[in-house]
Amino acid sequence: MKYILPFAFFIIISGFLWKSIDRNPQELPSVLIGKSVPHFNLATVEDPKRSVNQAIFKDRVTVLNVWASWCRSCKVEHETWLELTRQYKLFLVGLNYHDDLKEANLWLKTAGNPYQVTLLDEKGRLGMDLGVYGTPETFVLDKKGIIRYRHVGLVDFSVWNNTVWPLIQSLEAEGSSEK
Amino acid sequence: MVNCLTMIPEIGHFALIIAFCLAGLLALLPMIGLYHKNDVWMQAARPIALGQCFFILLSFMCLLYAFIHNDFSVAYVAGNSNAALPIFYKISAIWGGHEGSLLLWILIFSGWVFAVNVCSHQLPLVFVAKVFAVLGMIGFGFLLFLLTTSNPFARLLPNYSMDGNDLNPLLQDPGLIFHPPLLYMGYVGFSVPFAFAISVLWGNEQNMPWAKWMRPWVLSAFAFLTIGIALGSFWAYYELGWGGWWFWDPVENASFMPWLVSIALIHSLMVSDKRQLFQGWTLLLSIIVFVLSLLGTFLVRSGILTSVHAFATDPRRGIFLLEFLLVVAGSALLLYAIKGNKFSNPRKIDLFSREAMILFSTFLLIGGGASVLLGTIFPLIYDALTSQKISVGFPYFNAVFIPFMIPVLILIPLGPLSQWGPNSLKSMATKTGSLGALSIAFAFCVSLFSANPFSWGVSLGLGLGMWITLGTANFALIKIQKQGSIKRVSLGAWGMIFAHFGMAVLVIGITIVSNNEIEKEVEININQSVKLHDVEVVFKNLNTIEGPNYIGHKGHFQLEKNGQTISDLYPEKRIFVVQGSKMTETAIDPGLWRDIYIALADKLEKGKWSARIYYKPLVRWIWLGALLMAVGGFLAALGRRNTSKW
Amino acid sequence: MKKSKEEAKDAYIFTQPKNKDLFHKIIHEFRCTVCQNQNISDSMAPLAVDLRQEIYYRVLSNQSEKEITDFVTSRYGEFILYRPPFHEDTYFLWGAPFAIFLLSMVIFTKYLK
Repeated sequence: MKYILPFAFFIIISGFLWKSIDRNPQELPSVLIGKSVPHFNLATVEDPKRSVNQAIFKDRVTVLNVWASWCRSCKVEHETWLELTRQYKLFLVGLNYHDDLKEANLWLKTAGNPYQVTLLDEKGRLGMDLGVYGTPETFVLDKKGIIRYRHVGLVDFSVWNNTVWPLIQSLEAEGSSEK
Repeated sequence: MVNCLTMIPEIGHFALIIAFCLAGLLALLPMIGLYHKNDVWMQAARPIALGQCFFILLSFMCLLYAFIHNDFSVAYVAGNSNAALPIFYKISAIWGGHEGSLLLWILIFSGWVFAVNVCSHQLPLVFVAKVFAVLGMIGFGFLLFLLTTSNPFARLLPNYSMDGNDLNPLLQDPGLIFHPPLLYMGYVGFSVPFAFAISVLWGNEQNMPWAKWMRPWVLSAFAFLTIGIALGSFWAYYELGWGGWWFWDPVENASFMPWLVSIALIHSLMVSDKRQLFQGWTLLLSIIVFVLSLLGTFLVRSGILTSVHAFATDPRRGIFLLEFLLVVAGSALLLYAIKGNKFSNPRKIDLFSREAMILFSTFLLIGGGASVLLGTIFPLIYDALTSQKISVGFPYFNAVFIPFMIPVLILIPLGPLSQWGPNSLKSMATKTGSLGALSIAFAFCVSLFSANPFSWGVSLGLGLGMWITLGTANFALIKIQKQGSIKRVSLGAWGMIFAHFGMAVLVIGITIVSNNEIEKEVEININQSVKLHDVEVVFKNLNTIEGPNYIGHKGHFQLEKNGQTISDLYPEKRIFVVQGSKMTETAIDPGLWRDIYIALADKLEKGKWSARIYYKPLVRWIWLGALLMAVGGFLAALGRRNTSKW
Repeated sequence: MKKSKEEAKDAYIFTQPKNKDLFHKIIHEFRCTVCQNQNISDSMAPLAVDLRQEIYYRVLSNQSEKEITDFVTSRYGEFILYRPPFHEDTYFLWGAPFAIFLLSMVIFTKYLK
């Protein structure tokens, strides 16, 4: 009767292995989901003399996109944001992460600027507070400034259509139904 | 026009298909012969097995040909090689990626099947027939996997490029030439004791000396695996840039677990052979060792764990391997569940007997192995149950594994110095008391009088190492005295002596390098120096360099001792132009008693470089110890099988 | 005459050995989330460099290991710890080896006279 034990253990282990096959071990879920966006006080890329803080996220649904001019994937993703801001009414805020102000400005001038405002995070401080580990990353914040979603890597049209846009719509509805 | 070049890969592919069919026949015919008690059909196993080996060898030769002749119409060659690659790397690039390394796996498997063929003529036909049937089933499953999901001969016709992608720079190293083949010789070799064990469980004959028959196979596979793992560790040490030699990485653990279980198996086999005890346990261990090999293969190639070894992963492959594992392990363990009780222990054993010491050590080794397994797959369990990610790294494994090993190390010299059957505590104390006292004295003296602060960890490690050394030396002397001369001592006994001594060397090496290494992380400029113990490391010069596919910097460091220059080291920092990746080429001044290890990190402002310089005492003892263990394994494997006593 | 060379500067300077030890312990026990197979001591990724600096300053301002660990895990999660935390979800992980040890002793005694 005890001879069945090795077989039983093996089946249990295999069960866990089977369940894990589809999961991607590299993908880290954000631990900030459900928490407020961290406090910050940063200048903007468009106008370095102007500074903003987390109040800009209040009362509207925000899409926060973390990018840098040295990041190849971000440059590829850029086109997508330009197109999306043309098609949809979005409050898109850029977070220029660990970058050179001149390079960032040059990129926005030559390739176009889809962002309503771009935060200048030269030291990467806000990025670290957000748990950013791989650019590009995109966050969706609700009307109270709470982080509801994070996507690591390129946002393309299928991610937008399947996940991000439906979430934005439900967050928009959220605020107004509470009134 | 059909030229030779385009046909060879097709021949290779076709040869694999034939081998696949033959494997299927090998699985079936002897079984049918068994059922019908037909000797001819059972004997057919041998030529079929030979045929399977031949066609797999042919297939491998075709892939080899494609690599050597730069046939980039073969997708695998294009993905892993390049016209400019030196010839030995072109050859080893065969196993540089997933498909080719599987072909290597099956080639080595054929080698073992061939060896079984050659070495089994004196075994009963019925037994051998079952062994071949099991080997045939394993080959069949593996070839099915290869042919359906991982075909190395997939072509890129008609549009293929004139040159290939290149072999990953990290793999362009002698390590790639030796590490995978030797590792597979070990891993795959355990399929033989596995087949033997299934054959025993399946059969009805009692009193077959199957433990004697299994011994050389387990010992040689163990020896190969030991070298394979040691090579992997050594390669990581000089290649990865930060002086580590073991990371408890999932892939490392995947090879370590079968290694631990094989040690338990070797010792349990001995007791089963000489005292007809623990037979069920031995058979179970034989199954577990191969199941762990397959599990390791699955873990590495399925991509479900974060690891240094980046094999290109594909969920389909993961699923197939898991199904294969389920069939092989599931059926073997079910067979054990059903037949295991026929091998229950005939009698109980004394507490202070060699049998008890060996049995308890095997429990400890399995316990340690189980803890490593738990730590390795726990992230999967955690994710499945809580949907959150967690890491289990070296602090866990060190904390959990070492306590299992300490009693094992204490028992190592006691085994040979005790008798089968009951020993009185008094006689044990007389034999080993002085050795124990000497070991403790040695440990404390070294630790107290060394330049470093006193450490309990160092004392423990040194004490255990010396205890094993003295005990093993004592045994060797007794043996030589008893037999009359060194030559008369059996190879089996020498094997054990070497292996146990190797373990002592390994333990001392690990203890000292882990506790007493010096790491200096500095920002260094030309003409500045770093002092490590009695050696001064001076940064003399820096040059820019250019290689076939990289640019970078080469530093010149000089090692001085007592004012004399003893060595020049040239660490490099390379940037590979195609992918933009950076690589550190470390520079090592090797020595039996210490390594000095230099790695350049980054260029800073004003000519400064950040660098890491290490003093690593006794680090080479780790691989030396492993080598001694492997030598011991081989010696014992070659020994006369019919030894009635040590 | 013995020539003495100028000593190279340590990359991270500490006046107190216990701070140096704490710093080294932490940076070896945190995983780099970018490279994922290196700790943040060995990784060259910009995030690793940033985290090393951040941890350096926190060690210098005498923050405890728990405070520093909490700072990092509140942003990156427990995945970043090579030493798995000890809480109700990991009791099994930390306890099982000990249970296995006890179990093996119990089973062993069943073989004895």
